[in-house]
Amino acid sequence: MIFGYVVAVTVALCMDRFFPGHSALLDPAMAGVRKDDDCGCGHDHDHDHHDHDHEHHDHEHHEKTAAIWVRLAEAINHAGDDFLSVGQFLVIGAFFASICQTVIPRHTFLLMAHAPALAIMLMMGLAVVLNLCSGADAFVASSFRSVLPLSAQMGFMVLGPMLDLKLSAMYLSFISKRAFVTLVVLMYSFVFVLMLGWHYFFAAGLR
Amino acid sequence: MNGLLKSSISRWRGLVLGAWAIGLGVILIAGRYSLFIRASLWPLLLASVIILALFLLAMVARPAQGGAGRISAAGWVRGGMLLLPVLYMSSLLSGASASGLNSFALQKRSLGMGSGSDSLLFGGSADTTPIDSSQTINLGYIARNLSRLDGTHVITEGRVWMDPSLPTGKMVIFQFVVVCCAADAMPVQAMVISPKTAACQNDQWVHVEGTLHVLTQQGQQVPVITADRIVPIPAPDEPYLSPYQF
Repeated sequence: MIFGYVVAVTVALCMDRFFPGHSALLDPAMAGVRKDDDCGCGHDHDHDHHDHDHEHHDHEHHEKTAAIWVRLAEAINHAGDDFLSVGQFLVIGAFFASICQTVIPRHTFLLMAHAPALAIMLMMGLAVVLNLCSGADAFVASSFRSVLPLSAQMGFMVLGPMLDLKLSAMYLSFISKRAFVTLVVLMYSFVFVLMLGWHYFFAAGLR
Repeated sequence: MNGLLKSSISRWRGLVLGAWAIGLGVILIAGRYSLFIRASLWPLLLASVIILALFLLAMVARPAQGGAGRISAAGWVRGGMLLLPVLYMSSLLSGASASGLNSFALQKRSLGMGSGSDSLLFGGSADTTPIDSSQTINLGYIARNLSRLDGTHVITEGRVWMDPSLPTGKMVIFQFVVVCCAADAMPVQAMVISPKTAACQNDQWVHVEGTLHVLTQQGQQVPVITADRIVPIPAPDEPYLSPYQF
């Protein structure tokens, strides 16, 4: 968790340096800058949005009619919309990850993983193609416990929650390709250097 | 929620939500959920059906929006992608997938005959209670207690993999250990030696009784059962082991 936090903060600071403001975003609205006629709640609003304050359902005309169950239905509708918007990335990511799980024999990675640096790189590559959720990552990584150093397993667990197939699809939907490539290079490099350093200075030989 | 998504939220939304709710409901009622998640996690599946039903109800109650009359091309693409899991759910009801992770998955996920005994130690140390050799023990228990079980009579069950590289009279029995879902499934396995292995077939479930010995191959401890009894058995209702079972 500490490694993940360090990498996430460092990469975020670098991205802010390379892409100041909202220049990495494809759509400025993703940064919270909305047009008045696009609050995203699916309703027509024929009134001014002064003091809008991003509470889309506190509009005056809603307050007149909104019983608790109406507000609840709207909240559920928003949750459903978000579920479907994220769900497509999850489904596609899971689809390709399951193909990789089915097609790629795990022991083939071991044939190329005699050197710590190579083992870390390979496990980070495996994290990108196999990861579905961070909960399952730990158990997938532990299956390599007997054959790979701890640093390689850690590389799998640290990179996985930040970069995998479904997250790549999500990133590409709201940041530019150039920003995405920069993000991937930064994340991969930082995790690799951190794990390699940890391996040689603290955890050599640990499994 | 951006404008692009809003414009395509129409009929396909209801179609997808309805298909997921029905698919998960059928899987839940038919008890097939244990093929892809740990069986004890069924309440989460029930919760997901309820949430999907709530989404559907809220959608029905939602005021009509522009574009709700027909499904756009983008809507078809999105809906099609989101319907992929429904295809998977239907495959769990019959056909090859309906028997769970099999010997094909074993070959892809195994890191060696003895890898399970090491990786399974994350859940704690070996058992210290006396071993009752008349009781059936699972392959996970064997993997975790290899040293204690060396030389003892064991009774266990598993699926068959007739490794073509093994000589006649040898086969592998295996079972997958699932912590959360099939994505994290890890195999535990044992070699079985007996003339009766010739009558076994790939992916068949068998009951095995015999003497267990531990061999060391390529730095890994491998459980080998010299079997005096091998009996085909029906597939269990829950094909996977949980680490909390051993």
